[in-house]
Amino acid sequence: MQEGFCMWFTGLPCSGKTTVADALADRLRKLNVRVERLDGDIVRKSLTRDLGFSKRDRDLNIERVTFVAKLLSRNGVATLVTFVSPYIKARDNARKECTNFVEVLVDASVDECERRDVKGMYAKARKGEIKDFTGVDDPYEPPPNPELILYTEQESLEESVERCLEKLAELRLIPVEYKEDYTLEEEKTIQKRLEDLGYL
Amino acid sequence: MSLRNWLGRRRAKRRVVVIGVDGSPSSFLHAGMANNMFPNLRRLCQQGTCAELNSVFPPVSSVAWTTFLTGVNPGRHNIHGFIDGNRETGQMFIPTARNRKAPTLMSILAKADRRTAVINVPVTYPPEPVNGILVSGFLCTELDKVSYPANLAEWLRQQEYIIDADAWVAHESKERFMGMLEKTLAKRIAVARQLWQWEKWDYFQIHIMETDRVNHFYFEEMVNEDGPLAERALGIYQETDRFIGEMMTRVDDDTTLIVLSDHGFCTLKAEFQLNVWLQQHGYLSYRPGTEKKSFGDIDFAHSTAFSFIPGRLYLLTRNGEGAAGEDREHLINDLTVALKTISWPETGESLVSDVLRGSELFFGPHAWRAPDLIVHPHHGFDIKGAFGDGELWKKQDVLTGTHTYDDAFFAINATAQTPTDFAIIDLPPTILSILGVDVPEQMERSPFPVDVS
Repeated sequence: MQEGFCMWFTGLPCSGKTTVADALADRLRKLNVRVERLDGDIVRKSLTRDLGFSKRDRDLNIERVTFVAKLLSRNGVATLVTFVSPYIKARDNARKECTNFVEVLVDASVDECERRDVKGMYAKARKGEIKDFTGVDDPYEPPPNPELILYTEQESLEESVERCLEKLAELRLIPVEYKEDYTLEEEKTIQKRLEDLGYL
Repeated sequence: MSLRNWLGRRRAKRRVVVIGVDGSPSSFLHAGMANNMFPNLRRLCQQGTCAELNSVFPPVSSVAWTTFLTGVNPGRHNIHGFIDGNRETGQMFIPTARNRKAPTLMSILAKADRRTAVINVPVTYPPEPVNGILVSGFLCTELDKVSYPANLAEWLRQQEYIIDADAWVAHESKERFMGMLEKTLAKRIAVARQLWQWEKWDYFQIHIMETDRVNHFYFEEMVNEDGPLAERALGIYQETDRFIGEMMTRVDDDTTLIVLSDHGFCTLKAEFQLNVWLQQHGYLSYRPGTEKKSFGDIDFAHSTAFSFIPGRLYLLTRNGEGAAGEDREHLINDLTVALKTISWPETGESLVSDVLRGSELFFGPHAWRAPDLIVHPHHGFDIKGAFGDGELWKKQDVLTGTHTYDDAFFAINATAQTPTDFAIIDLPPTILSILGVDVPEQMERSPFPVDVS
């Protein structure tokens, strides 16, 4: 039976959390892993649409998401959570509540995040149109010991996804045979070798 | 002896060397010893202990050596053959070390802070990080990826190390292949010699695969001493014997030397295609519109059994899930009776020695992947698993040998009391015991007594 887990992606807005997690979800589905996504933008339109961005509301936002992630992960679902989740205390609580919690810091500089910001949120924050924006006028508390750090300024998307899969395989949360030990050419070579020896 | 030397000897840790001689049959080696063809093995047997032992089911090197490295059955270590299949995706795959689910001798010894040097053992690709060095075996295609640490590969390249002789050459020219085997063996021994000297090891394992290769392609010639390549084929064994003799001179009083094979060999009479038989008898069908030539073409919903080489039979119920309950018992009984009636048309000899239940052989968290039945042939027959239409029986002219479950070989430079049901799975706890390392709970056998004094 599939073992559930909660892979929690934290980092500045536009650091690449959603992009990596969406691509990872695709890879996991191809491995027949049951996956659910809890994404900040989407959850805020439904489960937590009543909440704002005050410290209290942000804490409540994470609390509710943690509750859902807890239910999913303990019932065998690979739960990929993508929230800025800037506070250590809230993430530590999620670690306590969820099954097989894997914390992933998605690391990119503020400048790079701003460069990527297609919605113009950083610009609005700098103008004062958005208050308490993490990375501008609200602090981000990086995790001291995440299970994985993705350096999205240096790595390609494929590399980041691969590293996530490696970590999950290392933790035996996904089958270790996810990784292709052979290129197509190498696999053909080995198959031929086995055939020639009478083993196929 | 001075007090310091006595104390030094007391403090000296025991070391173990294993020379794997893949597929070498005990009966063949003893016949060779009696004819003075393998003087070093004979000396080892006379001065120490030698015995025949059994392999594992199915008796192929990937399963057998993984059982050796882990001390558990395939239901725990999860290597069930050279190929395996994923029913959900219809894909077959080649299990590698990454599919192995139980810790190896290398990792157990690393935790006990003992160093290992392991060369060419099957299913050690991709090479795992070890406390020492690891050169993986023939499932690796590229020298760049063969070793841990990775930078050892460059030195191996300089030594012109060959991972495995290209078996396809044997199908074109058995003489040319013999030359490749001789060269591959020479390079492997040279590398082993160097690493023996350079590496600080507590456990050293060198795997000679060329004995298996020579058995596959030249066994009939060797045992009959017939044919232009018979002498050179025997030469592979004699070169291995010389290497064993060399290692016997190098080991000190604190080192235990073991020579071991993983299965036996015999002359191949004929191959039998089990999937063709299953199809002909209504157990296996293919989906309409497919080419009906591969595992992925199987109509799992309307089949009750399929097989993988060699003789691994998997049961299905009508809805494609694993067979259970009353249907299962009827299916097993029907299949067992039917399989035991199969005989080789050429001589009337019976194909099947036994139909063994997987539930009695395999246990553990990965037993679900193990075969439900093992169709164990009489000596001389090789049960294959090609899909699609084809002939039931085939006589080979290139491959002249096939594996046996029994008749594997064991020798040790010590007095040992091997168990009555001696099998390859007995070795790992015994090796750990000799090394003074605690035997992990998951190992399924206990050490047998070895007097190393």
